[in-house]
Amino acid sequence: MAWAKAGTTTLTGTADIIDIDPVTDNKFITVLHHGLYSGDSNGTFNFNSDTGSNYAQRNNYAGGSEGTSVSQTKFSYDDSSTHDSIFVISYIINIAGEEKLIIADQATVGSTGAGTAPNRAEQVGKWANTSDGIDSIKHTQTSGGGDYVINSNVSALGTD
Amino acid sequence: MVEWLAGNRIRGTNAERTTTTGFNSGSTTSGGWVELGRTTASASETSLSVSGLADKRYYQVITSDHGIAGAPARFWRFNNDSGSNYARRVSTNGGADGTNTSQAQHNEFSINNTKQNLSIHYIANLPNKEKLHIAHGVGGNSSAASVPPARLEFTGKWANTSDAINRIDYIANAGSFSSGDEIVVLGWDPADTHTTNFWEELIDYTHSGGAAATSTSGTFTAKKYLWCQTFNPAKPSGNNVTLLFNSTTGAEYATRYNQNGGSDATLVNRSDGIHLNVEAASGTATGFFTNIFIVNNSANEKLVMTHTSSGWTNAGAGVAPARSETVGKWANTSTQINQIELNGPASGIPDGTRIKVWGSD
Repeated sequence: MAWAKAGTTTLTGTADIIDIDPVTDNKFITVLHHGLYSGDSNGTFNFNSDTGSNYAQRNNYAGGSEGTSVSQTKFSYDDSSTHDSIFVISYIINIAGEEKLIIADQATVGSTGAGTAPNRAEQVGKWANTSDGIDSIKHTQTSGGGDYVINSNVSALGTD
Repeated sequence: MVEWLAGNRIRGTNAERTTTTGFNSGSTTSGGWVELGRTTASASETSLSVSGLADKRYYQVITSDHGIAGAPARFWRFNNDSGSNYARRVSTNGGADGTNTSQAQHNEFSINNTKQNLSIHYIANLPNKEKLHIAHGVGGNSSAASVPPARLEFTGKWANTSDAINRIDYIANAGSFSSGDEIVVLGWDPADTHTTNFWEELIDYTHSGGAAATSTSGTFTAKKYLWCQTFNPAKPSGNNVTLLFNSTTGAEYATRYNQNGGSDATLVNRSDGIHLNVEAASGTATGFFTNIFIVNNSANEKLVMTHTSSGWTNAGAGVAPARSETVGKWANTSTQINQIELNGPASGIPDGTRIKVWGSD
């Protein structure tokens, strides 16, 4: 089947959370996330509201050295010192009996204006769940003090 | 009368369904990427402009050209804005990031490239926010499989906070585009309900019958642009996993790859295909997932870009995944890709391996 809308949420006010619940449990998922920040923020997401230590990831920020995190309670964007907005494309393979693998590319606005270049990060991740399909994607601000503001969006396209 | 479909099938896919009502109607697939506009060069244009764009929250843009004499930069503008309102960050061939600020355009390719290029762009388009732009590119660098392609990673922003994007210009800084060079603008919006998806499913293959060294998608209808995703549940030790096209066996492939942010490496004149470079230190990997874009014109080398996430050496959240980025080319200039093969070590392609291909002209 062709790609189809699997879910979308656009905030109508300020919040710490923006989620797609439910998201269609497709085997192939593309997530588009445009998060608008009220100030210094750090975005994360989890699947199926799972906050166990079931996530691992690898990050490369601005072409620098590689970093890894294991046994995490969520997948964290590499958006340190992002005060304005983040844009992320994530490709996800979502087969219930297999670990879920993520490929994510992100661009962020640390400071507004054309006098400051955007930042970028390349990330991969896994959700070590081998029994469930993804039925929700919850983005949460976990540190930095900022929030998601109105018109922040997360959308998913999916196909089997 | 039986109408034979691609691969000599008589059973169609949802994408090939001609009706969504009546007997055996199937479900509609609404809300995928929809084509908003395109401009294709006839010859000698210095700019490829797509205007009158519908206001969508997200754009996916494909640019494909055949190289420009003198290898000038290709650059982008939005809404014909030539003010100093652009900034970018770019890495070429895995090198250190470079930045440019207060520019009058987005310089896209910093590779001096007189040969083919393919770039895939995503843009967030909210009128009151700066427009963020993520792109990846592959440049043919030279004809033939003896020279590896080049790769580009790009983020940019257009610091306009009052307008939606309604026009995109793909501009040659000098010289001109040649016939067939093209920009295609797709859109996606939360409010979309259309069923006119640009990306049509061409084939959906799941390997069965036992682990094998190779797995072939089967024949599909060739399209100019291909988007493919593959998933392999596990890879034993041994050779890397590679992509081959149309069951070829000649030394027709070249690859540039980067694993886990290290230095780029290259492979040329290979007969075993384009390397996805998923091999772990111990030679084994748990599941790996690859996203692939390809430009697939019969008369030109086929350019390929891939990104892979691998579960790495062990399952579980106690081991970080691995990543690889590859660009490749198949130096065939006489036919289109209509079959994709995953090639691995002995028993390297287990049951459950998926090859999924979407495409469009």
